[in-house]
Parts: sequence; structure tokens; C-alpha cells
Amino acid sequence: EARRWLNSILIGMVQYDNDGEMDPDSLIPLIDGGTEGFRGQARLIIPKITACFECSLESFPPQKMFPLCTIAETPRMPEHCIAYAMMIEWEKEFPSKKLDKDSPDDMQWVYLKALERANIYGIEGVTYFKTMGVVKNIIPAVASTNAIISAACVNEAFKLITFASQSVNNYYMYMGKEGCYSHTFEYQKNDSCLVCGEDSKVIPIQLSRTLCLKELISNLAEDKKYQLKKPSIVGENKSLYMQAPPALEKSLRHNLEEKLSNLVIDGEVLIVTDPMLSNMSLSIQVNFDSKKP
Amino acid sequence: RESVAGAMSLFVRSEHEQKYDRQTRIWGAHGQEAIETAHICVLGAGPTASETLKNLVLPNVGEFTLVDEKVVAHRDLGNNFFVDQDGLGKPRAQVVADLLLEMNDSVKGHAVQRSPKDVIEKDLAFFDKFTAVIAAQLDQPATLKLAAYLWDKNIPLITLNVNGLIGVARLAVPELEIVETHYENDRADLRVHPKQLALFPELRAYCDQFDLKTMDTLERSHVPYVALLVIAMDKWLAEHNGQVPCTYDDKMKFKESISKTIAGEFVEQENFSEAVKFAYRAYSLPEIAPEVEAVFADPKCANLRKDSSNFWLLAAAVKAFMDDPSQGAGFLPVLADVPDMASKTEHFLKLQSIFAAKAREHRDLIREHVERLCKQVGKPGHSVSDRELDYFVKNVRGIKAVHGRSLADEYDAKTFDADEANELLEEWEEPSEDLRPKDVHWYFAMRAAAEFKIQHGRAPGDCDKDKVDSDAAELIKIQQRLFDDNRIRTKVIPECLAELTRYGESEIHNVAAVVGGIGAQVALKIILRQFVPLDCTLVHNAILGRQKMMRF
Repeated sequence: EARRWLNSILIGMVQYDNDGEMDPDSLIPLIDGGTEGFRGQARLIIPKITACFECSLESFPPQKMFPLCTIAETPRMPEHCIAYAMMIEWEKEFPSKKLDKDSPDDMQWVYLKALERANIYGIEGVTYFKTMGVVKNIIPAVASTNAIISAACVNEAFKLITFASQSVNNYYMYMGKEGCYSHTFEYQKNDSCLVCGEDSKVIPIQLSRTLCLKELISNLAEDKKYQLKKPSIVGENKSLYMQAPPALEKSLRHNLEEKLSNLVIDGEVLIVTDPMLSNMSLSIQVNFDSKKP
Repeated sequence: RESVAGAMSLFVRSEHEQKYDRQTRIWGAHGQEAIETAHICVLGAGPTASETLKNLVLPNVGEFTLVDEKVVAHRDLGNNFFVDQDGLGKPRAQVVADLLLEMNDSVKGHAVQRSPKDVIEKDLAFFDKFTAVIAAQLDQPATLKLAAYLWDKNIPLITLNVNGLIGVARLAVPELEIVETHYENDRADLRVHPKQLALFPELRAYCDQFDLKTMDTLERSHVPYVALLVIAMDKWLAEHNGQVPCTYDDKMKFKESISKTIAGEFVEQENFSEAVKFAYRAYSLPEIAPEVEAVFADPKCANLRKDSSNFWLLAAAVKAFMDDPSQGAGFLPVLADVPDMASKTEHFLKLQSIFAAKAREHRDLIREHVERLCKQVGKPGHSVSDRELDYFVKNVRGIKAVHGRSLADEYDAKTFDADEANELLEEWEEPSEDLRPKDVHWYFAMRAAAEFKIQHGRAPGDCDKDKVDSDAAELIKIQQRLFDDNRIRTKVIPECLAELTRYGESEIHNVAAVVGGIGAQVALKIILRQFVPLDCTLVHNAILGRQKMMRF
């Protein structure tokens, strides 16, 4: 999320002159690097010129989650027992207190509860080490991978500042588990990207008449294309829901439970904004199902 | 109270464990131990050398010896984190070693103020005690002499050379046996193919207990897919004259039969989805990875001797197990690890215990082979510990024996792999820009620069401004000669050699840091005997932000 925000801010800063040409001084390149174990990537984003971070949003794999029914009813692996202790038993025992992942006392509590559950079901393998891994979602790290990626990032910055040489175009992937495999390729700019795309399209969506506003909002959060965490929605002649300022949010909150078909008319265009999109927005044209439920 | 205190002692973690937690999750406690007992030698103390060493000191390498004759000069302050103002005029090896040890005082570090060339000339036995040797910015003649010595001793050598925006890393190790390669693809072997199931009566009996017709919806959703596949395959074999599906059409029909005929309307359930997804496990025999086959086919496996390492002894034992029709019958030993699958807890745990019991049975049979083979070659009884045996058998689906490439063979034009080089030169790249030097061009440019240095006593471009152009012209001539000698079919790209001359063998920090990261990672994998090491040259192209592996 931090990357998305930074990406959209920088792209939002691009200025155009009276002829519609981009002002090069307003282009601030973003060099983004990340690692996990023996893997890493370093990429160069030049606002409006190369693909931006949002262009590649759909390609990120979803976070691995255990199904709730497995955790609650048919645990099989030590991880299931740990997830149960951390999600369900903690909530039951300390309903108002948030689990502090850095507190050894809290972590020991989770570990012992997980162990208890594992013993009931006859599951082996719950250890403190494993508990830490599951609760803190620890990403393994190696000094050498971090060194390679951070230096690759600095190298791009060095070349941009000194004009000493060309820039990477535009995405470098490193995989060091087997040999020192790497792949550098041009990540294509997505013309319909919400943040940097040139196609300012109105996207039609088909909705049920019984859908309420808060369901629309949660759909926008879950949809891989958008992943908007705090959207504000404005209709053609009124605000439907605004996340801020607090007084406005409070006064519009009742709309969340309202059927969307009571708030807007068929064919109306809604403008959706979100912190992830900075000063860009998403336009959706609402078309309601003609069939009555 | 007592039991709580007892439990507490199990998870109060040492400072050591906490410090190295994130990397221990990659290579295990046994890997961390290997790192902490290694002794690495690094030649040179410029940025490439010090960055490499930093990446070994941080993960807690046991010991290092740093060899460099120079004293800290002003120019070092501009490209090396591990020298400081106070160190000006002092022996560079000592200054770098001291600053490195500040990052981790558990490491033992020694500085030797001697020229690496000198040690190689006069004192090669100096290198006998090291786990691996890393040579940074070492000139070609000294490199080749060192490489020949270390190759004979089977001591891994990593050479790192940086010139402006180009870096080359090379690993030279004759033989390296790896048990835990951490392969990424799925090599689970659940024994549901009829041929395998026939050898596994306990699994057969387990699957037979599930009668789908008498179960209600909930009970059916708790049947692990392993059993579902066996049930579906029983039906198929009965209807198809005992023939396992082998054509594409049959395989698709088999998949449909899982969800339609057996499940009826229960397609939505997780376990049935898994059965369809993993249907191939029922009609395809698990493949043995080519690297594993290569180990079994290796002469070292067939021709065991008294001095054979435990790796080959174990490989031969597993092979004997596999070859025995009453034991492995062509299949690798059963793995106790069963991947998670949708099922009721007790069904899954029972399945796990069946596999665990069979795995133990197979391991015991392999142990018998180990003892027999030991006797055969005159090795003392129990040369292989239980821990080693378990480790090998558990990881047998990913074993690998690396046969490296010597520098001697690479630098001899007669044995240089010109076919590989020419293939790389002809490779189509996207977008295709004919004049853009390919990474392999940089490999040759670096070779040419090394030749230049032998002939002229300095790197091309490391001279007064007015000599740079003539250096470049000379370098181009050397490159052409190198191409001719090594049967390389390509035109010399003058811009490529001019660019390398422009660099004048400068060692800028960001490039040194990448190459240092690579060098350290190669070294780590060797120390760990885990993961697959570099085979065997890596060219780092910081102009385009890319790298390429090659082997000549």
C-alpha cells in the first residue's frame, strides 16, 4: 500500500504546459526494490513514460490464507492450530486487546494455546519458531540478496543523476536459489491503468437492484483490478459516501446501508476516489439489472 | 506451574537464535551451523572484496582471512565503506577487517598484509585450510595459477572482477555434492498410481475404508483426495479392461468421472476440486528429476571405493533399494511428508501415519544397503550416521552432483566452448538492436582487457587522457585476436571496447556492491551445501541493469 500511495503521488505531480506537453522537470523517477529470501526485484518507474506500480497491480499473488472452516473445525497442520489460537482464541480471551506480535508474553500465550489445540487433535509440529513465523508472517531475509537489490537500485539512481549511462528498461528480477538467474524486461505500460493510463474511460458495471452501497465499496476493495481500500463515491449531483472529513463521513454513513438503486439512477456515472489513486479517479457507469428479484 | 516452566524453557530463545532468525528460516539450523564453522579467504581489500566479506560477516561466518598489500589511500575513501579517515596510510587489510568485525564481533577475522600475487607465487599451501577462496580484482596470471592449485585440492574458488559498469563473477569447483537443493516444483509422490498402490497395501486398505455411496454430504467432503483418486481409478480400471488412462481424451474423461460419476452433485467440495486438480497423480507415474537420475548414473555411484564420500555411498544404497523389485521396484523411497489436503483431521493424521510408517520401513531397508556396501568396500561399520541417512533419504528427490568447469579449460582456446559462445552471440534479443553489445560481448571485452594488462602492465584506459584512444584501438586488436584464437564468429564491436577503456578498471561502489552480493551468495551456497550454485560465470551489466549466466 505504501508503494501504491507513493506511486500515485509522483504520477499526480506530473505537469503539462499549455501545449499539452509534459514538463520534464515535473517527472520524478521512482526506483523500487524488494527482496524475499533469494528473490528480489528492482524497477525503474518514470511517471507517465514507463509502466507505473499500479499497472502491475493485478499480477501480485494474493496472500496465502487458511480457510476458516479448516482452522475452526478440521485442523490438520500445526499452522492451522496457530492460526486458531491467534485469530479465534485470542479474540475470545482478550476481546478489547490487540495481539502485540512483538511482545514475548503475547507470543508465548499464542504458542501455548496452539500447542494445547494441537495436542487435542493429535497434530505434531507446533513450535515457538513456527508460531512466530505464522503470526508475524516473517519474510525470510538474506544479507546478500538485499545487497544485490539495493545496489541495483542505487546504480539506477547513480546513472540518472550523472547521465553516466543508460537506464534499466525497466524491471529487473533476480532469483538466486538455483544459480544466479535473472530476467530484465520492459514491463508494459497499461493504457487503462487508473493512475497513469491515458485512456480516461468510463467503465460500465452491471449491478443488482438489491445491492447496497457498502457492498459496492467492498467489491471495489476485493477486485484485483482496483483494490481500493478507502474509496469515496460521488454521484452526478450528490456525494454518496466520503471517507473524510469526519463530520461529512458521519452525515453520509447512513447511505452505506441503502440500496444503490435508491441512491442513483440507471446509467448514472459515479466518480470514485481513493488515497491509492492520489488525484486521479475511477469513473463507473452503473447499469441495474432489469429483472426484478 | 512446573509444566509451564518446563514449557517456557522450550521457547525462551537465545539471543543468537533471534539474531539469525530470518536467515535460519531459509537454510535451517544445520545450515547456520555450517556457516559458523566455515573459514573463508578473501584476496584484495577494495570495495568488491569488502562488500563480499560484509555479506558473509553479517550472517555470522565463522572465520575470515583477508589478504591485501596496500595501505589506505584517499581514493579508497570514495568507494569503500570499510575504510575511514583514521585509516589513511594504514594497512588496508587491517583497517577493513577491523571495520567489518564491528558489524559482528562473533566472527573471527585475520588481516594479512601481503600481496595476493606474492602468496600465490611463493606460498600456495597457505590456501589449504580454507573452506573457499574469493579473489577480488585479481589479475589473470595470478588467477590462473591459483585456480590450478585449488582445482587439484577441490577447494572452491570464486573470482570477482569489476571494471566500471561491468562485473564478472566465476565459480570454479571440480565436484560439489548437494543434498538439499530446495527445488521449487512439486515433487510430491503420493503413490496413488495403480503400479505404486500395488506395492503399498496399507494405503490400499486405508482407501478401501471409504464407501462414498453410504456417506452423507458432510462425510463425503471429509474424504482426502488421495482416496477419491483411488476410488475413481478402481472404477475406471474395471470399466476399461485394466487400462490406466493414457491418451489426452481418456485423461479428460477420467477427470470428469471424478466429479460427475462419484460426486454426483457434490462438485463444489474442496476435496473433489483437489482430486480433479491432482488427477494426474493417479494416471502419471511421478518423474525422477534429471539431476537425480544423473547422480544414480554417475560412475562415482556405480564404482564405490573405500574413500568414497557418504553422499555416493547413500546414492548407491538408494539405487540398490530402487533396483530391488521387492523393495523400491523402480520408485524412490516414500516420503513421510504429506502435503495438506481438505479432509477431516483424523483421516489426514491417519494418512500421515501410514506414510510415516512406510517411510521408516524404506529408510530401514536403505540402511541395510548402506551397511552391506560399507562392508563391500571396506569402510568401517556405521560410517553413515542416522542423521545423515534421514537427511539424504528425506531430500533424495532433489539431490544433485555438480561437475564444475576449470579455468584451465576455459582459458585454453583448444578447449574453450566456442559452440556455446557462438550460440549466445546468435541469440535473438528483444528488442533486437544489432549494435547493442550482448552480455557475452562484455565477457570477451573483460578477457581482452585482462590480456591488455598482461601486455602493458596496466588496465586499458588507466592512463593519461591523451592515451585513452590508442588504448581503445589496441584493445580492439586484442579482442579480434581473442575471437580468432577461440573460433568466435562475430564482429568486434568497437563501441564496446571503447566503453570498457573509458572505465579504466575503476571500481565504483554500486557495481562492486552487486558483484559482492553475488560473490557472497555463491560462497554461502557452497558453505551450506544447499541450493544450486552458479554454473559457472555471471556477467553483470550495470548499463542495462541485467545479468547473464554462461559456461565456457
